[in-house]
This record gives sequence, structure tokens and C-alpha cells, in this order.
Amino acid sequence: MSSAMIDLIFQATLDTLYMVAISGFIATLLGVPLGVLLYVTRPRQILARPLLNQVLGIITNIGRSIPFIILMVAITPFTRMLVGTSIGINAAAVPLTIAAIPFVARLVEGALNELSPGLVEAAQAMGATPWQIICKVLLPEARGGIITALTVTLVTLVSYSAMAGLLAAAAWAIWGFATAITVSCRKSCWSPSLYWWLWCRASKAWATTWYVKATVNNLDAYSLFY
Amino acid sequence: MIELNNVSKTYTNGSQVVHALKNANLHIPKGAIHGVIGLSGAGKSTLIRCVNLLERPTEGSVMVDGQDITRLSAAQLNQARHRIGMIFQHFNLLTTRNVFDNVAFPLELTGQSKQAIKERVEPLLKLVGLADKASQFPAQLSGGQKQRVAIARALANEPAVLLCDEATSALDPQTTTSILELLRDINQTLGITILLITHEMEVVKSICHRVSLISAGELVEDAEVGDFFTAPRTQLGRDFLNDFLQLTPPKELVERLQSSPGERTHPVVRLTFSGDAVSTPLISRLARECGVDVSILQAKVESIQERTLGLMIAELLGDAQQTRQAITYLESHQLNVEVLGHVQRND
Repeated sequence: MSSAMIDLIFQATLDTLYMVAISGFIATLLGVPLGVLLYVTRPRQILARPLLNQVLGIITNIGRSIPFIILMVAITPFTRMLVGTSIGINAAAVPLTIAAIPFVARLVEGALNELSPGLVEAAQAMGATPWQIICKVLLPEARGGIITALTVTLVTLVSYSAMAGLLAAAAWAIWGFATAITVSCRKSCWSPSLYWWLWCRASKAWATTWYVKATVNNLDAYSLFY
Repeated sequence: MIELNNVSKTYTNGSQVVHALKNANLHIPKGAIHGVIGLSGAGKSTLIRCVNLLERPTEGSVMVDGQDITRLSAAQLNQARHRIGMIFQHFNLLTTRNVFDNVAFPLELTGQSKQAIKERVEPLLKLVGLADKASQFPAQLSGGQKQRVAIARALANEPAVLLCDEATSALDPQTTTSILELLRDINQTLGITILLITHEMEVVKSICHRVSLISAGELVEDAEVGDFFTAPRTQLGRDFLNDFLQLTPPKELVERLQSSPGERTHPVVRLTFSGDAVSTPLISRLARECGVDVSILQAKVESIQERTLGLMIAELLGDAQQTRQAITYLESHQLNVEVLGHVQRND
């Protein structure tokens, strides 16, 4: 293996670790509390707020169900607002974090769900406040489940980060898709602004890809392996 | 100490309204052990959960230690709950804490210092006989030991009241006995009022002073344990008792029983006797004084707390006049006589 290849792999690994670490950390910080909130606001739970619970549930479900690749493209303006650019590993960390938060939340909620309801009941009977129940009963008792949830999240983030890297390469396909939609939407009366915007984004990503490809082509592909 | 006044609890499940508890009235004096017995789904759990408001009653008031806890704010309720201990069928210990820390848990909730916690937990563990298991985790303990930890935990904040929710239902008979002995000790040495719910007559028999019978959300009977075991007033009470004593007439006899006396029949009776009647040789006197022979089909003598209870199913052999006289004689000696039916004479 050539030293160029080794460098490439080394750099890519560092980048992946960086993206996964940043997004994993922030997603844990926000996702665990969200998961706890999803659990304790359920009907008949210690902080039962059925309406809040439904709203949070819907938001979480939307976050969970958008395919990552779509999410990544869709939140580009937000990404740029946050880190000042839409390319690079800092920019990739933003959609990774956004995708991971609801993911962590649902897994944490699931881990809490595994606990015997008797534990909460016993703590209530002892006069524990909801905050004490969360800190002294729910989180410690679900520790194993939460650690599993975070591990699963980190592994998923690794595969998502690869997808983030592939975005550039796949951009031309999205560009073609977006063009077709934009054209068809212009014929209908429905507002095409979203698709127009998608088309612009895809065009830009495609241009970037083309540039990157041209650079990579300068490397002798075969020499990498011999 | 515990007073339920007209407590009702209804659930609405869609369009369906479930009355889990209907107008329950219960008065438990300080230092008493009160049992509530009933079949599954009768409302026992709802009843006991209304005492510390794990279930909030739809109507009625719940007085614990002179305080109407249905009127308290959330913070005041938590304060009141510190003084109401509770143990559960499935123990509900924290699996990630060892025995010591489980017992320390309620003390942590009330914000006590490490030193104070240590000074409180150690004697408690000694009291329940687990001083050597302080650093073990619940998974390493047997069911009986887990319940002992739960009892120590429930006692940590020196409660005035201890609620036992089917506390022995998940335990084997031997362990049940030892846990019940522990509860009786606690009641006697610490003067704690105990309310327990159960479906086992054995539990009521061995430690309760008074017992209430619950059926379909209603308290249908309330009696001293001795009275309940000698003369239950309701059919459900009799069913529980017969089931417990396993005193039912043999099957082939039941098949021959007819409800009204005929020409050549004699009565089959169930005799329940307690107190002095137990030590009086009534059967032989019956033979002498009424000329009736007694054929005993089944008999049992149970001691229920300080009282002795005798039960017997017997055929009274004699003519109609004699047997009627015999029954009157038995009743005049404070025996409870229930004529189960009549059987044809064999001779």
C-alpha cells in the first residue's frame, strides 16, 4: 500500500472519529434528557403531560423517519448558519447531531421502558420528588440500557458519517432528480420554491464533486494498492 | 391512625366506567394490624394505594395520623409519605444499589448526612437480620431476604404506618412465616400500625387483629379475626374460611344430601366452636343427654391467635325429635350449627 493511501485512510479515520465524537457528545447531551422527558411525560407517569408528550413524540418521530441523506441536504442553510460553511467535517457534524438526537431519545426511552414500574411506584411511596426519581432511580437503574443505546448510536453515526462523505459523490444524482421535479413543479400551481432551492443546492454540490473528482483522478488509483 | 371515609375510586376506560372502590370506610386504630382479604381484582390494591395516594380517590377523605392527605400539596404529600412505609409483592428494590444503599435510599431523599444514614441503616439491618449482607446486591439475595431489605427500607424514616401490598404472596410458606413473624415483632416493638392486603387466610390468621373482606370494590365484612374465623357473616367469608380449612363434606356424601328432611333421614351438620366449648366434652354429653350418636366425618382444631377454633362435620344419628333436641343443646353451648342437609339412613 502506498504512503498516499495510508495517509488518506489515516486522515479519513481521524475525520470520522472527529465527526462521530462531536455529534455523539452533543446528541448524548440533548438526546438523553429528551428520552427521559418522553418517558416521564407519558400519561400516568410521574410528570404526566399528555399533550407535551404527543408533541415531543411527533417531533421525534419526524426526526427519526427522515432518511439521513435527505436530512443532510435539507438542513444545509441551518448548517451554514451554525458553522459558517456547508462543506467539511464541521459542517457534516451538524446533520449527524440532528439525526442522532431523536435516535438517542427513542433508545433511552426504550431503556427506561424496560424498568419495572414498581421501582417508580416504590420511590413515589417513599416520598421522592420527580427530580429525585429521575436522578436516583430511572437513570441509575437504566444505566445498562442507556450505555447500550449510546453504543448503538455511535456505530450508526460511523455509517452516517460515511454517507456524509458520499454526499458529494451522489450529488449529481440528486441534481438530476431535483431538476426533474423542479421542471414538473413549475408546470403545476404548487409552490416550487423548495424544489428550486433543492436544485440550487444539488447543483452546487455537484460542482464541488466534480472538482474533487478531478483532483482525486490525479492520483494513480492502481498505485494505491501495489 | 388510618381512616378511610367514603372512599371511592372510579376509572373511565373510554366509555366504560370501572368502580374499583365503592364507598369504602375503614378505621384502623394506632398499633393495630389490620388485614384486608379478597380475591384477585376485588380492589385490594386500589384500597391500599389510596392510603398513600399512589392512587388518588375519586371521592372521600383519607386520614393518616390525623392528617387528611387528600388535601395536601405535592410537597406536603411527599413529607407525609416519608411517614408511611410500604412494602410490595415484588419487593421493588433498586438493582444497582447494594443492601446498605437500598435501605439508605429513603434517608437520602430526606437529605440526611452520611453519618446519620450510617447510624440509622446499621441497626435496621440488624433488626431484619441482614447485618452481614450489607454489601450484597439484591440479585444475590433470596426472596425472603429481599423482602427483609424492603422492610428495613420502609422503616428507615421511622414511619407511623406500614402498608403491606401482598408482601408474602411471592414467597414460599416457610419464608412467609418468618416474614410475618418479623412484621409482628415490628408491630410490637415499634408500635407501628400495619395495614396489609392479601388473598391468603394464613396471613390474616397468623398476624392480623382485625380483618376486612373486600368484594367487587366494597368492604363487605369487618370483624375481629377470632370472630371472622368462627362465624363469618357473609357467604364470601364462609367460602374463604372453608377453602382455608379445607373442610367440605366428602363428595359421596354431598351427592346423597337432600335439602329437606324425609321419613328416614338424619341431619348432617357443620359445627363451629370456640372458647370454652372446645374444652368441653360435648360429643359424649350429646350421646348421654339427648340419646343421639354422633358420627364424625371431618374435624379440625385450629388455634387463631389466643383463641382455639374447632370445626367438625358430623352426622347426628337419632330420630327427628332427638336430633332437633341435640341441635338446640349444641346451640345453647355457643356452638354454631349449620345444617348442611339430610341423608338417608343406611339401616
